[in-house]
Amino acid sequence: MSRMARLIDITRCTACRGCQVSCKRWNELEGDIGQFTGSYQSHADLSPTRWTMIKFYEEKKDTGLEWHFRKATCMHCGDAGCVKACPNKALVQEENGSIRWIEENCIGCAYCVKGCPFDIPKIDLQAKKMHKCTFCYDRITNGLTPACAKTCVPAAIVYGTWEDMTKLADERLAQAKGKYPKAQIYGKSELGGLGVIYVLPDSPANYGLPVNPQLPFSLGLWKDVIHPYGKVVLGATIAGTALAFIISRRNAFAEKSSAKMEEGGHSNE
Amino acid sequence: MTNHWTDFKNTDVALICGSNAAENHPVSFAWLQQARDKRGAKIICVDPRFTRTAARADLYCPIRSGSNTAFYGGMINHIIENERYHKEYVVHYTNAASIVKEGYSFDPETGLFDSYSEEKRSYGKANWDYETDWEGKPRKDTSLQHPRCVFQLLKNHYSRYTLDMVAKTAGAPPDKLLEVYQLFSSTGEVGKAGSILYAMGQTQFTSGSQNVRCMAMIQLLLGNMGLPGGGVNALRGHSNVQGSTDMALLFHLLPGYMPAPTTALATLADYNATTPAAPSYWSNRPKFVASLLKAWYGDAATLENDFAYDFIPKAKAGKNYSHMALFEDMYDNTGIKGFFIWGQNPVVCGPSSQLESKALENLDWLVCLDPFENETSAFWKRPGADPAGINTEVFLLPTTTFLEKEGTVTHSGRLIQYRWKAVDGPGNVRQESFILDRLVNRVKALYAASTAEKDLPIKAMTWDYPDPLVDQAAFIDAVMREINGKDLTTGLQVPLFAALKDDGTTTCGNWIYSGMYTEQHGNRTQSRILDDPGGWGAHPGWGFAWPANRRIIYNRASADPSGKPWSEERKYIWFDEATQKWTGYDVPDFIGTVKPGDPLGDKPFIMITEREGRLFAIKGLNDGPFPEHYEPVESPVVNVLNKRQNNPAHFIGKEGGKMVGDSEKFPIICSTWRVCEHFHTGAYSRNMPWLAELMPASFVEMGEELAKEKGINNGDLVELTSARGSAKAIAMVTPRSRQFNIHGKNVHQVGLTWHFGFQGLVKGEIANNLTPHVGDANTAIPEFKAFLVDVRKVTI
Repeated sequence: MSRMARLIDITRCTACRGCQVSCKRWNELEGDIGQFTGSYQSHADLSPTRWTMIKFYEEKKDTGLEWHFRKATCMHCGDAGCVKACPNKALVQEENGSIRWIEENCIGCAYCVKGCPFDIPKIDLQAKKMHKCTFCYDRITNGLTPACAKTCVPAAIVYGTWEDMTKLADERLAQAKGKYPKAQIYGKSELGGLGVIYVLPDSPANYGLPVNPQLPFSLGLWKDVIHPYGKVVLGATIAGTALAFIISRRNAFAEKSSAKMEEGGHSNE
Repeated sequence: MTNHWTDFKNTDVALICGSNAAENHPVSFAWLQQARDKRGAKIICVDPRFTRTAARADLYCPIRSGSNTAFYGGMINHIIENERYHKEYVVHYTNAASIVKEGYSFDPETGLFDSYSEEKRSYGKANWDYETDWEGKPRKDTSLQHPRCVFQLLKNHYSRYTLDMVAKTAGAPPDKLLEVYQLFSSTGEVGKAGSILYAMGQTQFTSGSQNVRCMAMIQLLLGNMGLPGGGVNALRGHSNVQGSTDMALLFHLLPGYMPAPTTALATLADYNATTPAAPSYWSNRPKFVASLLKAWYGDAATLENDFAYDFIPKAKAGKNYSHMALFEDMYDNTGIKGFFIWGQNPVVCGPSSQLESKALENLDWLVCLDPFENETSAFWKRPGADPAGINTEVFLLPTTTFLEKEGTVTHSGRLIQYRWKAVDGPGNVRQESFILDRLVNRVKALYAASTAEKDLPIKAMTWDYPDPLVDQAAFIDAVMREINGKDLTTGLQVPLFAALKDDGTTTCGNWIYSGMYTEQHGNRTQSRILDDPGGWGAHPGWGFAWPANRRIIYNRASADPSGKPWSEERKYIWFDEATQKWTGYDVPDFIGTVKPGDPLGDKPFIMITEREGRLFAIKGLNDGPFPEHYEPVESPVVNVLNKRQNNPAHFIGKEGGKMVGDSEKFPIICSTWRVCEHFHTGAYSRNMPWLAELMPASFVEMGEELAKEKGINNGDLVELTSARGSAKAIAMVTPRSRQFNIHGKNVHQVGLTWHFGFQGLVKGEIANNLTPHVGDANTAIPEFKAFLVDVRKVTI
């Protein structure tokens, strides 16, 4: 299967939030009734039971008021920080582009949280598991479109091959420029190409996206230098930056540090 | 709708005014987006508030709540002054050339048309008619120059609605307003089409019917009626609200939009005497009524006994039985003892909620049918009520939801579609039609032995359907066959309403639905053929659209008087010279044998006696033959367009009418509205965790200026008060809400969602505590969209 992607065209989204509900329905995620936030946005952020949501942005511009709605979700990056950060192969990059989560491998260590430049993975502190959008791996490997794309009325979310979606993004951009002269594409070149390609009305910064997303420096070390041997020698040989990184993560998530980690190995993998 | 949902893809300009289509009818944007993609269409949003629709529109113009007629009047003036109207269409297809009687007048000083009685609050409409020639036909001046021709009267009437006047009355930025007028009136050009989408933001005013009239007039002037991509399109508030009005769940109608009999029409002859004159297609009404009575009373309905016309209960002539009037009668305890409420939640959705809740206390019994215990079936334990003091016995019959039942729904585009049950309902819940069947059988059994004449209607009513408990689908099948109609001489289904007769040889439960279930095609509402000849999205094989499977009504008007399409770009229906027949991509809305050159061959509006679109409504609506701007009953400003402050004929509730607030005490305009995430009174959606999560609380949108003035921050709890009551909600302070400058006076507008109540997973105070018991002059729909409040910050 070739690499697949979702085009998310912000200039079309009407914020009906059908995607938010259809994601919950397909993935059988519980309702999470929170407090009113003073905005149409239901919650501040994603959660272990909310893998996608519409974020609302009011913009006062010289040309008038604008109101935009960005579907926040896992980007399924080409160069995926979470996969690099994961010490236990709970996250794998599939051929179809999905960053797939393997539940039994996940120890809820939250290294992926630090590794993600988009702040997507969310940890269920009770169950000690990470949760995020699966790219509807179960659907797309069975010839179905992701639940969010299927439900999207104005075709703001479109699913297809990465090549087709980048091409479509170019077409959509040309159309969007009519109303939004600063419109731009996001995700074509970022982090090895994202599995979510946005058409944005303006700078990514206006919609809570990093302008130039980078993986943490330490992640490169971990993945490329230490991790290959980590399984055997973790706890005994690491030093310097990598150690500091791990300790800081442990402190942040002290409560749920893995028993396996403390044993210094991942032999049950 | 004159057109339909899929047809939005054919428009060049969509004017969304009085509707928040993106939020409340999200599917509309699938088609509007296609129009954009394929035709470069533009979307205009006119709304007091910058909504999700405004966010996705190409052009947004704010107007304050209650200024719709002024806004449209300005559009009419712009179209005429700048000659943007489609002249040939206007001359041939509307009554623009007809000359109006000399007695007709309008006085801009008093704001009244001629023959008004202040005492009766109504007009004598005798002069609102055409001047006729010796044959009784309207006199015409096709040059449109006669000072009393409709066109000149129209031009004169709306000449007061200048851009400056409208901008000041509506509080709209003049440049945006002009841009809207220019863009929408560009569709008057041949080959272009503009669609108007509206909803309750047009209708829920004391002048709501006139707002709708305005849209029809504009579309006639621009030649947008009958064309793909055109029309006046009401986005209905429920998936099947079109079906419910078609089937006459309204006090003043019989099925198929025939008037309900009153005591003033004692006999069938009296009733038939009110039939519109030929050549209006309505002149066939006696056939439809006779067939309806035959369907209802079977063998007991004969030609000799007026088809048992006596059996239909007659409303008291002149008495209003609409929602507000009914609740006021109940409130006054004048005789209503029991009440059935099917799938409605008036404690949340009715105006002046406290009054209506109190009214329910006067009942002996109340039966509620709903999937959930909503605020109405729980009215006796509402906040502040003393259950011990309420003697109403409440029965709650749980019913299936739309996924758990089978049958048809009719959407806004008049398309009747069969839906199959997806899953069984939980436990012992039942489909409403089962409950109705058991109720009718029980009542009939109680009267079976009676010999009293008064009980005859119950005994005679036909009810010979298969038992729904044994086979629900068979039950529905039998009902649908009856609605379609049958020829009693052959025992076969009639092919269409044209086959109905007034001699008792045909039956038909609803003439407009006739054709949906025929011998030739079977049950067409179940048909799912995707073919789309012409590519206009008519899809004639998908379901069945009333009337006669016509997807766009008045479609004869898509062709010129000679029968050729106005333009090749919008070729839809035409007269085929070779076959000498009307043909096209839809069912022609015309009599097939009448050629363009024949008498009436160039008159597309077949339901009207003169067969022309009425720019001037002869005999009028109750409040005038031309729409005129009046302020809502509660308004912070004086009417400047004329000196009549309020609509001269609007509905005033006996009790509710006493509770009108003044703008000194309540200076802020308020409106109620919906959000995408909740359905109507929230009985479904507030019990659904995924939806409750999306919108967990009732909130008030207000502008930054007002918030500053009142010391309110985003997220604070505030209380709105009106002359009726109060409601607390959370403040959403946003630049999307604004203040309006109305003729030099700054006026704030706020608005709140009305989906909330005291039951369900997420709760909130009832917005309709605030709304007034006053309504439209013609329909008595409550004025939910513009009333006065004050707002203050509170702590819990």
